[in-house]
Amino acid sequence: MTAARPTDDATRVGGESLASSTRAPSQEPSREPGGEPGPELLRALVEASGEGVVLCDPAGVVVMLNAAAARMAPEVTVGRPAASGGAGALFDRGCPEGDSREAAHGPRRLRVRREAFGVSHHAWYLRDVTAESARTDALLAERGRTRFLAEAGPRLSASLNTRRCARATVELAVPFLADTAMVVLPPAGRRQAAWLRASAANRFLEEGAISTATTVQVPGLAEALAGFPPVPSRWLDPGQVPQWLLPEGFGRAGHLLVTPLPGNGVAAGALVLARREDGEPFDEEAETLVRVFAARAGTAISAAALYQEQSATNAILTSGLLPPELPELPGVRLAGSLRAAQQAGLIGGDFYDVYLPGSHPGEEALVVLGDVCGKGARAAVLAGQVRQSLRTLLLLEERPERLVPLLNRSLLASSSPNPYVTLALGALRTAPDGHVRLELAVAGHPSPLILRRDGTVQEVSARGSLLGALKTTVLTPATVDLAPGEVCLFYSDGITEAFGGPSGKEMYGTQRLKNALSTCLGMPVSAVVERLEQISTDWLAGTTQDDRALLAVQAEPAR
Amino acid sequence: MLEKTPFRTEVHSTASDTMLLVLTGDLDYDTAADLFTLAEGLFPGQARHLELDLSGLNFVDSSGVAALINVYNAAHDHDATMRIVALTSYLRHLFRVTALDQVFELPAETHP
Repeated sequence: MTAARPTDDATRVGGESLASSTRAPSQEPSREPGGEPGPELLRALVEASGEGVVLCDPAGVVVMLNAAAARMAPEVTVGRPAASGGAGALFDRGCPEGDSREAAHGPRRLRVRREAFGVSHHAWYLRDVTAESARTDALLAERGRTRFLAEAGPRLSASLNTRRCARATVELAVPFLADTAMVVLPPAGRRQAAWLRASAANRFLEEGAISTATTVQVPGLAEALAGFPPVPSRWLDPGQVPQWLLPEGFGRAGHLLVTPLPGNGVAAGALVLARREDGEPFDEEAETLVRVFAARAGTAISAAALYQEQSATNAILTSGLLPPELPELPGVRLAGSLRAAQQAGLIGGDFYDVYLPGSHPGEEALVVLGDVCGKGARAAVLAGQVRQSLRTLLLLEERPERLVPLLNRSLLASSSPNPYVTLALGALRTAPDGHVRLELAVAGHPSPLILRRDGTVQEVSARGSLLGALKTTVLTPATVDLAPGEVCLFYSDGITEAFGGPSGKEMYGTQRLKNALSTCLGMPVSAVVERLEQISTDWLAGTTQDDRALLAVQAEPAR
Repeated sequence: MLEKTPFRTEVHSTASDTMLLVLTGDLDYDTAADLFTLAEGLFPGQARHLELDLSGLNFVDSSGVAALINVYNAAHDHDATMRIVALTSYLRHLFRVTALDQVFELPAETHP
C-alpha cells in the first residue's frame, strides 16, 4: 500500500463522509469483484498493515491510527496533536513530504514518512527498523573488526624482531581496541619483564621494564604471562590497576582486559588493554576480537623470538668458522681471501688457517688451505673440525707428510657422512739470507703455485690422495725454497673450476691462474691476493657457484 | 654455469655378473646423491663387476668425486670390483690431482 498514492476515496477512511459513497452500501463488498471496497474493508486493510499509519487533520491533530502505529508510538492518541507527548521528534512537519528519515523513539528505531492527502489531511507512515538497524550496525562492526585483523596481519608479520612485533601490537591496538595498550614480554633472565605501551593521547611509544614481582600488581597479568586463558574483563577490577600501568594523565582506568599472547608452548607475553571510565566496557565481541588479535600478535612475537635466538646461536657458531686473522710471522708475509658460494652465510667448505709455532725452539709455523666436500653450514662445520683436529695433531706431530695420514684416520673415524677433504699443507721455516723454506704436503688438492723473482710461475710437484675416503693415503711431499719476494700461492678448485668468461661456460683453469699470477710480480702479497680474487670474480661475472679460497705466503721482500 | 647439462644414468647388463653404468651430464653437488642412490641398489643383485663409462660427464665437482668414491667403497663392501672403462682427459687430470688414479682402475692413456 505504500507503492501507490491513495485515491481520493481512501482519504476518507475513518472520516464522517464514508457513508456518502456514491455506490450503494453492500453487506459483503468482497462479493462484488468489479465493485469498489466499502469503508469497513478499507479500515480493515489499514489495520492489517504492518506499517504504522497516523492520519492527521490540517491542525496536526490525529484523526485515525492503526494498530501498528499504536504499538510503535503508544503515546499517540486520536484527538490530540501527533507531535505532542514526547513524539515531537517523530512527527516533524519541517521534513519534506515523501522523504523517509530515521529517528530513535524510545527503545525503537523508526523510519518515518509524511504524505499529504488532498489539501487538508496528511498521514505519517511508520516502519519499525530496530532489528534491521541492529543488524546493519552489527554488520558494520564486524566489517570493522575484519578490516582491523586484515590490517594487523601484514603489520605483525613484517618483522622478525620481537621489539618491533610488540610495537606493532600496541600501535594496532590503540585506539581501535582500547585507550591504552601495553605488551609485557616474558621475563628474560634477570627477572625483568620488558614492556611497550601506546596510548591514544600520547603519540610516542613508551618502553620500560618491570620486575617479575611487580607483575602481580596488575589483576590477571601474572596469570596471562604464565599462559593461563584470559578471564572476562568484568572479572578484573580496574580499581586495582597500579599507576605505572597507565600513561601519565590517563586518569583512572574504567575497564581492563588482560590477554595472554600465545606462543610456542609458553606465552610470548601478555596484552594489557585499558579503557577510560567514560569508555565502553569490553563486551563479548571485543573480548573475542582481542583474543584473535592476541593469537596473531603472539605468533608473530614468538616467531621473532625464535628467530632472534637462532640467529644469535648462528652468529656464535659462525664466528668460530670464519677465516682467522692472519698472524705476523717474522720474515714472512701472509694474505688470504675466502668467498663463500652461498649468499646467505659467510661460511662454506673452503678454509685456511695458520698455526703459530709453539715456544719450543725449532718449531715451525704451519699454513693450511683446504676444501671440504659439500657446501654451506654442513661443510663449514667439517672445515672447523679439520682446523681443530690439525691444531690438536700439531701438538704431537708437525711434519706435513706425517700429519696428513693422521688427519685421514681422524676423518675416517668422523661421524659426518662423506667427510671428504682436500688440502694443501705447508710447514714454514725461515732460512738464511731472508729465504723461507716450505715443506709441502698436498692431499687431493690443486698443487700450490710459486711465483719466482723472474716472473715465472711453477707448479709444486707435491701430490697425494684426498682425505676421509680411503684407508691408505698416497703422498708425495715436496720442499720449496722461496727467495725474498717470491710467493707461494695456495688456492681451492673454486678458483680454477669457475665457469664464466666471455661465453659464460668456459672454465677458468690452472693456466689462466698461472698467467694472472705472473703479472703480480713485485706486488705486496695482499695486493696479489686482492688482484687474483678480483680477476676470478670478474671471470664469474656475477655468478657464484663454489667457495673460493686463496692464501699467499711470501718471503719478505729485500729492502 | 648458467646452463647445466642434466645428469643422466643408464644401466646395461653386459654379462651375467657385469653391469655397465653410463653417466652423462654434470655430476655435482645437486646430482651426486642420485648416483649414490643408484649404486646402492646395484650391489645386492648379481653384479660382481661394475664398469663405469664416464666419457659423457661434462663436469665433476668435489661432491661428484665423493659420489664416485662412495660407489667404489660400496663395491668393495660387496666384494665387487669397480673399473672405469672410459673417461675424459679432464677427469683423468682430476683423478691425478686427487691421487684417485692410484685407487681407481682407469683405462690406459692413449696418446693421439
